[in-house]
Amino acid sequence: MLRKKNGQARMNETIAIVFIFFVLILFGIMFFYQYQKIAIKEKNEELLGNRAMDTTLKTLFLPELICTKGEAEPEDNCFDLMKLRHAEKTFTAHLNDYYYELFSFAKITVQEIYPGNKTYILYDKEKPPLEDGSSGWTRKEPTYFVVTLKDENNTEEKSNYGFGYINIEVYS
Amino acid sequence: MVKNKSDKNRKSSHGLYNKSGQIQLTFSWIYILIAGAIILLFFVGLVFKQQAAAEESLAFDVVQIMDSIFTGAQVSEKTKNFIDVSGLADYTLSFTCEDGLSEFGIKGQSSPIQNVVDPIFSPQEIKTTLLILWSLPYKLPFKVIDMMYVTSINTKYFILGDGNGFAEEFYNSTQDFNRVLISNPTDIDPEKNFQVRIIDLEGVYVKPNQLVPAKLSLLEDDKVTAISFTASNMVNYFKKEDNLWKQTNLNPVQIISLSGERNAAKYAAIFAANDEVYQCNMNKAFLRLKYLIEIYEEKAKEIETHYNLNPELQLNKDCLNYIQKGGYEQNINGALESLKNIVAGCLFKPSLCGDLLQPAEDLKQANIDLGEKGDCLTLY
Amino acid sequence: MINRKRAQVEIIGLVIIVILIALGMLFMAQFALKEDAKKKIFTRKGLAYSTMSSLMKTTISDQSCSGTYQKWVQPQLGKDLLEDCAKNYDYYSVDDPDSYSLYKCQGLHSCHFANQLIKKLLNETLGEWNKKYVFQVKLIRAQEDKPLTIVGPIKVGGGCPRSKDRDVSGLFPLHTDAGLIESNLYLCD
Repeated sequence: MLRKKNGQARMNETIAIVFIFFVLILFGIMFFYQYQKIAIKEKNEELLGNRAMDTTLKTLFLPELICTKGEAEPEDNCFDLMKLRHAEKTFTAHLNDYYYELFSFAKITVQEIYPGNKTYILYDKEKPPLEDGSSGWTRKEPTYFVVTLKDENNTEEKSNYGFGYINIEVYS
Repeated sequence: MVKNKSDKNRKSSHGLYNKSGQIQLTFSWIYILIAGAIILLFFVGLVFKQQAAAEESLAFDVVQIMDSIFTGAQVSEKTKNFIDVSGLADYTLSFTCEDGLSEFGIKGQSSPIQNVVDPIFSPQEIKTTLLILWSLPYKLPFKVIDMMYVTSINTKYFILGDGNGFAEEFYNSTQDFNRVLISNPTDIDPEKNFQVRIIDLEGVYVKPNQLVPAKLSLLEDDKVTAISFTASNMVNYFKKEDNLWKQTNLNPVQIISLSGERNAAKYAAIFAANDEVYQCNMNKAFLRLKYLIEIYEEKAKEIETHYNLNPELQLNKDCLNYIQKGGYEQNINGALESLKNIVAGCLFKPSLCGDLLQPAEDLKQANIDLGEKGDCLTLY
Repeated sequence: MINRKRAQVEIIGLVIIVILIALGMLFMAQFALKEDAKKKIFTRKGLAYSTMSSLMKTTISDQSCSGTYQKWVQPQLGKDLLEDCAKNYDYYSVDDPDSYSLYKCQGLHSCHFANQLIKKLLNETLGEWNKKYVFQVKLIRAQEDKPLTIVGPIKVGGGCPRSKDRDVSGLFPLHTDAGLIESNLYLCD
């Protein structure tokens, strides 16, 4: 009888140990799930930041906007207003078949600060809303860069340089 | 000797217990082995799955980082970037271009980067510790796009012939690249390089069905390629096949570019793996040209309106004749219209792209005249 | 004896659990020690340079600007206005903003006008984006050792001392008859 009771007690002990073992495994899985969730979120942030940087670089050196000086080197951080005024039309006309491949989901705005205050929205492609009607994007990463705006269309026919900035917002 | 009845019982039950114990012990061990094996297999399977996932994740990360590096390298034109990729020494990077779509990534992995905008000229495979990135602006005649060249320190370029001075220009431009000027194909020695490219600037050293230089027979067929210039702007591509040169292009490939130093399209032809990769990436440049022409047409209209509204600015100048179609033979509007019409045809049929050169030359001259002779606002 | 051995085995089990928890903490620590994103560094460096370059090139389109013989002019902020400020700095004082200078916009001395305009432009860009910055223009005269601050320092958010992680635009030197003009812009977070 004593042996039977001893055996039963040991059996119960074994069951308890196995049960705790599985509980520990469950804790381990939950911990790993939380860690992966945070890691994926961090990764998405990093990718968004990279995309913002790439889009900014591409925009600043776009042949459609940069200031040219004939056969000489183009000017840095400079947009030609005579091209800028018409660039929006071209970007919009070829948004889905070409410029989307360059900029993806983003909004590119050039804001003049001096002497005028005109706004040029060059490109705007937001992520489409979800099936339930909610917004398709969760985050916007804005990048600002100051640029000079060159205008040669004046009676003196000399290059007048304005001051402005470009705002590039990428959607996640 | 049995002493009493209880002893007898004890001994017989003891025997039973022995047998029971033996069975129980055996069963316990079998149970432990099976359970242990199952648990071990589970964890080993988990490890392999994680390893595969980690490799995919690494490939994805590498390719994303390289994409950013390529973007930076492309915009910093005329600058050479040397990227240390010793961590990827065991991996092969693959570059392809088909139907206007470029893909680059790690060979055998499933996460390549696709690009339909930026032209990248490179060998089809690179396995190296040092990647070399270089970009030059492609002008026709205004800047269209930056062309990026990707090569490696273990891709050797053998420059044969003079090419009217191009050999020296190329040699001087590609400082720190793995290239050498040679006068005789017998001097070609691949050494321990991953792959070689022979640049025959005279068009006489590499011909179809000719034997490849002896020392190149040790390299695999796809690691030995050549480009032969039949004229300054016509090339043929060759690859090694059973120690003989085999031409890969059906018709000679025309290099569409205006003359001048650092001819981006010519350099692109040298770095491109073959004619298909070259044409595929050049098409990207022509597609970009099509959209740029639209913007320049509007700018030309604005300049024309500027002079129409301010006739006093033209008192000692002749600006409108350099701009309007009815004006001088080489005029801005006429050249732009021709470019626009030809580029549309060129995108459908690459053999028509050669016709882009004349209007591009006209536009370049008209722009120079506008600035120098006319002292007017220039188009670019 | 058996009980002691069992207790020892149990202690080992507890130690293993403590080690596992410590490893878990290390995993969490990697997020806390993550370095600055490359984008942040790139945009701050690039922004300092592009802001400075744009400021120097800006053409003054004020109708009230006059130059030689009181004729209306459109001087450039870097090349013309700062050079004029350097040449005529000795005539300038904060209490007398309309003292003599070759270029006069809104009736103000070129140093004063430049200071005002640069402040406005930086405020509408870097200031709007909550960036901390310091802008100043220094004149290094041949006969003096110590550089003279002729414009600024224009500081926002406490400026950018050396102890802070900061990026500089570069000196943008300008050689003039009055000496060497060095303009720089520091950006920090």
